[in-house]
Parts: sequence; structure tokens; C-alpha cells
Amino acid sequence: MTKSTEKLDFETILASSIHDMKNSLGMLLNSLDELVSSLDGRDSARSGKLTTLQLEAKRVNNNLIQLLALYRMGSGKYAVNISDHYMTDFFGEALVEFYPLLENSGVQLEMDCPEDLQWFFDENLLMVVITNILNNISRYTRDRVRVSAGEKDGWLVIQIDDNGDGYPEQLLDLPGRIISGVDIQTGSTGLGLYFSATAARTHTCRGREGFISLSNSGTLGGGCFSLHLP
Amino acid sequence: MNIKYNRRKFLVIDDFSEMRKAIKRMIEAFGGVDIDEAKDGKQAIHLMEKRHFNIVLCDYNLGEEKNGQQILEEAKHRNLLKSYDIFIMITAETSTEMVLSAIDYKPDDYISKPFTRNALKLRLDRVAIRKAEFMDIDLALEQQDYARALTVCDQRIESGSRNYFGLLKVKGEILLQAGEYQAAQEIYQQVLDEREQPWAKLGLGQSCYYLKDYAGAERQFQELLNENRLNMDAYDWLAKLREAQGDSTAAQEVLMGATKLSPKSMNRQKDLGQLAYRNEDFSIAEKSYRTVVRLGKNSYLKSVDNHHWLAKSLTANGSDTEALQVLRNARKEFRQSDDEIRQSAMLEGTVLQKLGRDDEAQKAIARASSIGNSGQPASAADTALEQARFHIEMGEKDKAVEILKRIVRNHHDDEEVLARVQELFDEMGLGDEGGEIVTSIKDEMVQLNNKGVRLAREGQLNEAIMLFEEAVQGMPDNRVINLNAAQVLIMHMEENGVNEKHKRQSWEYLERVAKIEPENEKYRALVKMYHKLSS
Repeated sequence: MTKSTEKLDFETILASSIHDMKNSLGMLLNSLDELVSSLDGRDSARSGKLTTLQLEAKRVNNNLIQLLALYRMGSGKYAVNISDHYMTDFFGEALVEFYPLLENSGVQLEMDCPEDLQWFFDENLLMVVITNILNNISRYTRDRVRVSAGEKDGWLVIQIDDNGDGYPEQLLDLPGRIISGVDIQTGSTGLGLYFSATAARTHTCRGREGFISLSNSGTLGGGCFSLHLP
Repeated sequence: MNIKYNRRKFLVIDDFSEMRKAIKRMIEAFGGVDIDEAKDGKQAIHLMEKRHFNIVLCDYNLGEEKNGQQILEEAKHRNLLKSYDIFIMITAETSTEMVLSAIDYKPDDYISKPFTRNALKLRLDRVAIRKAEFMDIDLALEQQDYARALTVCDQRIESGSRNYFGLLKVKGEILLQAGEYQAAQEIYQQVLDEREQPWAKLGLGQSCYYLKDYAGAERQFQELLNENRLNMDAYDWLAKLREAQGDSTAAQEVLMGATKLSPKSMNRQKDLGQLAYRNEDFSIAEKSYRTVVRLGKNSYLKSVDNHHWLAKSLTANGSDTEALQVLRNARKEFRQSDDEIRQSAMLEGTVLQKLGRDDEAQKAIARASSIGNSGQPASAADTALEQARFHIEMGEKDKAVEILKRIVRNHHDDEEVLARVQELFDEMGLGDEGGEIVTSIKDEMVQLNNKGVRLAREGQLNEAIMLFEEAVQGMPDNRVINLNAAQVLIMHMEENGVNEKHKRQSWEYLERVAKIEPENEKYRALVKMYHKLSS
């Protein structure tokens, strides 16, 4: 016999709330999208403001997805789904909205990737990782961002370079560690990097495990985020 | 590549009208012009019955009634959506629930909310390109023309398609379906040598299973579970493996573990219920069937069969009153076929007898018998054996013997069925007569069959065709007769050219065998020959 009133487990509560919030965000993002296209390139001041709103909404959305995914991964309930993807297709989808958004903030976004490069990973997880970095990058970079991918020694290396001042010291050593407190300047809590590190680790192959690293010797002279997948 | 969307017919299904409108505007922005909307499953199916849509965008969550997956299932099952049409499921998050289910029909892709116009277009483009590449293969598979499907696969791989792994995956699936287990194994191993991928491991495990290399199969499934404890396919196949190894208790345990992780999978719960019932673990059977009935509420695939099994489990557990209630509810809820009505009445009769309500029991039994006389009698082995058993319990030996004779005629070459028939004769105290009846009918069937085969060999195809056609009338479920009937028709067509009537007829006979034993080698060979006729 089952109890008539069963306590809802937190995962269900979390998932439902997030579902709800995403619906609202969806409407918000749609409206912003339509507003921006109705401006059709004129009124750059308004356009710029709308862009900021879009970026913020996307950040909130991505954080929600991250939250749910982290919870699930932590409680062993995330069904990882590794399949083959062409990097150009993947980046195409991941970057499509960021081109106009970053351009409106005066940042030029480039993508550099061999046409036939194919790798094996969980598309959903990686989408969140890339979105995360790009959401925050306008705070770090001056005016350029390059997203690239290549194969090296049997690893897929995804790199996101910027031409800003570089990442702060504390992040360089253990990028996956959550920093206590909030970085006042960037507003970052390191949660995004923690997620990226966790997502990387769920990718294993023949004993090797994915990982992330940050450095300030990027090809554009600023910071460099890299993700290695086996 | 620029896909043109102005000629495609779109259907957008979402319970929020704002969302529908927003999606509609997105589609219009990239060229779509013909876009219908539906707010729920009922409306959607209604529209699909009237028009053939090429691209369906459907939200998974649609309120209280049918969800997106259930709409997809009904549409596919009823052929409202063809293999080359596109169905994209809109989900609120990475649809874990769907990934964990053992679903029969998968959407072509998922897209999670919120998404913008560009994201939607990119996703649609990707799916459309992939569908175009696989279209010929899908169509060939619909006809079970494995040879052609494989040829196209190889052609595409040879020409350097970007869908290299996708094509190999399909190739593996085709080979498994066609029964070419060795070849399938080689494909999967080839893929694994290039790169370890879950689907290839699963495929390798499946190949081993079919080749009876149980140790090999076990290795693959266990590895999959070690890598990802939420790999549901691995659980399902591990359970199958245990059953093949003769350990149905262990199989049940595996499925129980799996259903804990994915309680909402209707198919898995059904499998568990069946297994538990066979293992006489009636409390688990009851629990599973309860879930199946509950999950099936809005599904097109719901079946009164599940209610019957729930009732059987309940009565086995001593909950006779509830069993009765379930049967009565089922009668109200479903429009049942004659077979199902008879089954239901039989079950009711048994339960009522247990409850000591003899008058009502008699009435139910009378109902069951009356249906048995009018409609087409059931000859599928299990149902028929149950019917016979029922008559024996009611003390109606003559009726039981009639049915048993019919069973032997329809399954004269199936030793397992014949053994069960003998058991029932023994129960009635008619062991010896029963043995004689079985032997004589068997002989009769073998002689009939041999006569037909001889006629065919001597070139008297028309006579052979007539003989087998008549035979099939009398024993429509007999696998051997159906196969031979199909074969002589195909032989005739090979000699004299294709004739529509013969073609249709032979396919009908082949379909009957497909329902009984799709892995049958002769069946597969005949299907190949059938397809060769068309080319």
C-alpha cells in the first residue's frame, strides 16, 4: 500500500521550479529577440541596452540549467549521453546567438575549427559550458574572442581566447574550485568553472578523464580557457 | 546548405497560445508559410488525420492529457507520420524521463526551451539534412527490404558521408534485425576499435547474445553499466540475458533495479509484470501492472490486456473483489474485440467462483461460451490453451477437446505447444486418447504438407497453390503451412511473372509468420525472395 501523501523529493521540486522559471525566461528572451529584430539595426543605443538584457536573461537561464544538471550529477541521476558530433555543427549552434550579442557590446567573435573534426561528447553538457564562458567573456575581454577546436595527442582541445587582461591569479591554479565569496569586479562565483570541470570529468575514455585549465598565455594576448576531452 | 521551408507543412503543438504564436513567427521568419497549431493531443491527432504534416514541433508537457511522446506514438502507430517526416520534441530540460524510458518511437531530435529562432533553424536544418540522407534507408526498412537498406548504407559510407557513425549504427541495427549476427558483430567491433561508443558496445552485446556467447554479452552490458549506471538499454538486455541463461529470478531483479531508476517506463513495467507473474511473484506483478495501467491512461497503446493481467495478479494475491472491479472498469473503458470480451468474461467467471458467487459466475461463463461459438475462434496458442483449460475447469470436456484439436492443427510442429496440449489431455484423464489424437493430426498435417511440397517440386504449382490455400483457411496460424503457401506463390511468380493478387496474398501469409516468429530463417529467406521479385 502506498502512502496517500508522499513527501515530494527535492529533485522533483527543483525540476518543477526550474521548468516554471524557464518558461518565463523563454517568453522574456522571445520578446527581447523580437524587439531587437524590429529595430532592424537602427537605434544602436536601444539595441545595445536590449543586448545587455538578453545577455543577462541568457545567464540566468544557463545558471538554471547548470543548477539542475549539477544536482542530478551529484545524486547520480544525470543520464550522460555521449554521441558523435562535428565540431563545426556544435559550435554553429552554441555560438549562433552570441555573434550579434557580443557585436552589440563591441566584441568580435571568431570561430576557428577544421570542417571534418568530429568528437564524442555529451552535447547538452558542453553547450552549457560554452554558453557559460561566453556569457561572462564580455567582462574579461577587450574586443575580441576566438573559439577554436583541434585534436592533439588523442585529446580534443577546445579553447576560448580573449584579448583582455587575463584571468585573476586564484583562478589559474585550481580552476574547478569554488572560490569562497564573490569576486566584486566580475560578479563571478566560480560556479560556472566548477560546472565546467565536473562536466569535463564525466567524459572518460580508456582511462583518461576530461579536464579544464585556465591560462594567461592565450593566442590573443589575454586569457585562455581550455577544455580537454579524451 | 540552405533548406527551403516554404513547401513544408508544419504543425506546432503547445498548450500555451503565446508559445505557439512565438514559434509560428520563428518559422515564418525562416521561410515557413504553411503552419497549423494545436493546443493538445486530441486537436493534434485530429489535424493529423485530416492533413499530412512534414514537420511537427511538439512540447513534451501538455497538461493533464496526452504528452508529446504519446502523441508521437499514436501518430507513428497509425501511420499519420511517415518515416521521412520530422518530429521534434520541445522539452523544458534535458529530458531525462524520456531518455530513461524504453520507448518504441523516438523523436527525430529534441530542442530545449527557451530557444530562439536561429537555434530552431539550425536544429531543423540539421535534422532535415540527416533525414534526407536516411530516407531511402528508412523506406526500404519499412518494407523489410534489408538487402536494399544495406546497399544504400554502404553506398553512403563509401561516398564519405558526414553521417559515418550514424550510418554504421543503422547498418548494425539492420544486420541484427535481418538475423545476420556475425556480420553485425563485426561492424560493432570495427566501430569499437576506432572509438569506444555506448551504442556500439550495446550492439556488440546484442550480437553476442544472439550468437549465444553469453559471457561476451555479459561483459559488454556490465561495462556499459559501470560507465553509466543510468544506461537503461543495458539493464533491459542484462535481464534478457539472465532469462536466456535460465535465471528468471535474476532477470526479475535486474528489471526491478531498472524500474526503480525509471519508474515511468510503461514497457519496462510491463516486462517486469510478465516476468514476475511467471515467477509467481504476484505482489510485484500486481505493483507493476498497476503502474502500467496508470501510465497507460492517456496512451494510444493502452490495452485491455494490461487490465486483464492486473486482474489476474490481484486474484492470485487473494484480492478477488478488487480484481472484479478492475475487470468491470475495463469493460466500461474499452471497446473490446470478441477475443478480449471472452477472456474478460472467463476471468470474471473464475474470480466470481473464488468469491463463492456461483450464480454470477455461471452467467459470466455462459457469456464467454456464447461468444466462443459465434466469432472467429481463437487459435493463437496461448489464448487457445487458456480457453481449453477454462472449459476443462468448467467440466466441458467436449468443448475442450475440440479446441485442443484445433491447436494441434495450427501448431503441429511446435513441440512445446504439443507438450502443453498433452498435459491438458492428461488432466482430463484422456491421456491415451489425447496422445492418439495428437499423433494422427500431426500425421495428417505432415502428409498434407508433403503432398503440397511434392506438387511444387513436380512443377504443378497451380495445384500446390490451391492445396496450400485451402490448408491455410483451415489453420490460419500454422507457421509451416503459411510459409509453404507463400513459397509456392513466390515460386509461381518467379516463373511466370509478378501477379498483384499473388503478391498480396504471399505477403499476407508472410506477415502472419512475422507475427509468430520473425526470426524464422525460412521466413527471412522468403522475404528476401519476395523483394527480389519487385526488382
